[in-house]
Amino acid sequence: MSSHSAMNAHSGPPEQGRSRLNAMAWYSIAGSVLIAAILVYHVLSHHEPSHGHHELPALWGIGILPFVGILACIAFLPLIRWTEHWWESNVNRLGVALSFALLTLVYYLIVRGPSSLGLVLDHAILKDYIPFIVLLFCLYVISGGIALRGDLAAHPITNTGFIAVGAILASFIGTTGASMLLIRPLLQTNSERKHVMHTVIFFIFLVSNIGGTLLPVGDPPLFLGYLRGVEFFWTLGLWKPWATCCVILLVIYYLWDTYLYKKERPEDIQLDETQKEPLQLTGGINLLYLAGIVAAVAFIVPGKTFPLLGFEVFPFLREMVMLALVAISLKTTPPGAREFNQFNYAAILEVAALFVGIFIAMQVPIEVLNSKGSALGLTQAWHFFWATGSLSSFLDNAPTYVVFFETANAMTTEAGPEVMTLTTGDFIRENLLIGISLGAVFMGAMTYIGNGPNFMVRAIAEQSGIKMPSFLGYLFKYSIPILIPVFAVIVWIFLV
Amino acid sequence: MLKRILVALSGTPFTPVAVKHAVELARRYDAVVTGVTLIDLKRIHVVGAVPVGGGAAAQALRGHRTDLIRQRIEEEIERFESVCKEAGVHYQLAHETEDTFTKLCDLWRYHDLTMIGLRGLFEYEVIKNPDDMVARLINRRVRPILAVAEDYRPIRRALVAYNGSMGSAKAMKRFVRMGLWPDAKVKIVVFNRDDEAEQLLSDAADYYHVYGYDDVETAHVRCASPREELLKQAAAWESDILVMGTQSKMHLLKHVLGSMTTQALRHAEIPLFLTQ
Repeated sequence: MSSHSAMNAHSGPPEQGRSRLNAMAWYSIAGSVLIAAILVYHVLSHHEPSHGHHELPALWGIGILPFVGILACIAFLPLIRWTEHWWESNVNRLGVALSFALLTLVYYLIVRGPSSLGLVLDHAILKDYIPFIVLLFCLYVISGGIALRGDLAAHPITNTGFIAVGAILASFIGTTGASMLLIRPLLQTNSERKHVMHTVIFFIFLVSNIGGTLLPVGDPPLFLGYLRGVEFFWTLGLWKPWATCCVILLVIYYLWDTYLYKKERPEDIQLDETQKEPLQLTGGINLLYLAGIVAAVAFIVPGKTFPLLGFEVFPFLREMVMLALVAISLKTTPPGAREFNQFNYAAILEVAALFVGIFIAMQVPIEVLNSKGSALGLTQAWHFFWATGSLSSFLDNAPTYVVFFETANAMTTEAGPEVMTLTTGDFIRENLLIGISLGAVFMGAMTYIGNGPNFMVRAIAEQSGIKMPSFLGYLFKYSIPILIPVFAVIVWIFLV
Repeated sequence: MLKRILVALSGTPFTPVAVKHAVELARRYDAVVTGVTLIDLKRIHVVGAVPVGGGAAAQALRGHRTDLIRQRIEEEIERFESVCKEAGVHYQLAHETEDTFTKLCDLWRYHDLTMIGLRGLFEYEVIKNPDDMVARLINRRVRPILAVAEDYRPIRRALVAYNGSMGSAKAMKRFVRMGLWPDAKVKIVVFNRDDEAEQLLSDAADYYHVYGYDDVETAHVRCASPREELLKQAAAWESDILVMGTQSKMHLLKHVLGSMTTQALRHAEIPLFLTQ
């Protein structure tokens, strides 16, 4: 005779929570409208664009608090029991981001007066946020329409090949795009093997991070550098450290996978050899659209001549072209491709919600660094590599890159040997820029939170049944022991 | 007297062995077996720090873990019911989802013996096993506990760790008075305590004789580390179960001094019978 006690059901959010969400939505709308109104007024008033302030803003110690605050919220609110579910809503994230943005605007209103608000938003939104988020959106949506299916035999050479291809592709379609495209077929290929965790980890290292080095579309911080005047093809010059790092890591991975392949059970290997399916690409037309995105970023430059047609490119024409490519992609992609990728807009909406606040709040630290950057004591390329990289490991690498870029920019005030002239007319020591670029991109691989796709790949792997290490396990058992020595070699060869 | 046994259907490799021991004892003593499953959503939903853009992935991961655990719980329940029905023992089920640890301790109040695995508790092979989950249960004074190993072995030889302390005396007495394995051969071991070891062993053996254990072995072991020597002694004697007391502040002592029980929990390959 048995009795069965009642199951306790997990209860949903209370009614009160829903009305709070609605209030937050209205608040977010109001904040967005206010910011947009200031911008529109600024644009219609035909204010002269400012090249930025180089004097230290008054009360800057208070002015940087919103930037610190928003980064702290991003880092800690998902971890605190009372806010972890609340933070899952993009409306709430936008509300928080706008709150810090508005605090920054209030700061400028006080220290510089109402006329400064338009200038701040001009820099933060028109020049940074809109191009940034449109590029990320376009890469995200278009690459989301490319689906790669298949199950190859999971030999070490095959796995190494997968990761190597990803490390090249990432520079052209973005680290997130390359990661989402390749992780599922790689996991499917390895589905019969027991030892797979190391494959995912090296995938994170190379495809989700280091691979995105060669073009500004490869990784968001490099695009921000492009917006700040770094020539589009300059990052191709980083091919030597990129290739060296990739080769070293691929060799380490190949040897590691070869060792573990021999430890697989014979019946699993046999299953792997017999259960095969050739690679099939759906939505391949989107590769063409991605090439269009790259071309748009490279050649449609505001203020310059439009290629072939000869007219001057007006502001946001590039963004319009990219969005048109997205519309075409949505229209022409076969239906199953995005479903296979479990595509949804949640991730890009989250980025859009948070970065509006980050870019506005970031304006004060940028001004501080423009004025006092040299006081940080960073003078060498390898200083910038490790400083940028250390912060990029734990904070989003895009604002981290900007912070150190502005520091290096402020340190270089005139042309000279080893000084690069940016398209904006400003100057930067090229070796420092190399250190910053490599640090921001490479060291995003150090933790699950160093770059967005790191966590996404981890989540997809876990959902496929692979036991991934914890945050600290990944850091202390894998990224520190493997990547730090490799990066030390890169720094020694190319930056010292 | 054994009338109610609580067994954790944890979804770990130890669970089938815990169920087997529980059913065996239930048959012998006509006891009711309660299979308890827990979903600790707070533990399951801990995915660590999440980067910008990773929120949706984190939610998907949490949802996946919850679904997987629910599925594994259903499988565990099915297996448990099948084993109980086959053995013809009375059983019941309990399922908790909120404040799970407290609920488990509440259930213990009305059961005579609690069975868990030596390592791991309610992970269902979905989330990592934090070392201290079993220790937390012990810290909450849930006693007696039979913490089983991954491999089943009938209990024929019992090694009793005794050092004359109140805790180990209570453990020794509880084991013999519960009489769960009356036919088991017993060996009592005292580590160090040179001044009184022989007296302790003699008194303990006499106590066991009163309860019908005629052939009790005793041993006085001198060693630098009783924590490590205990498991060696158990292996050497081919013991099927280890009987020991636990200290009340296990957490603190584990970190400050290191405890014999913690060592045993981490490294034992045979069941532990843990009491006061």
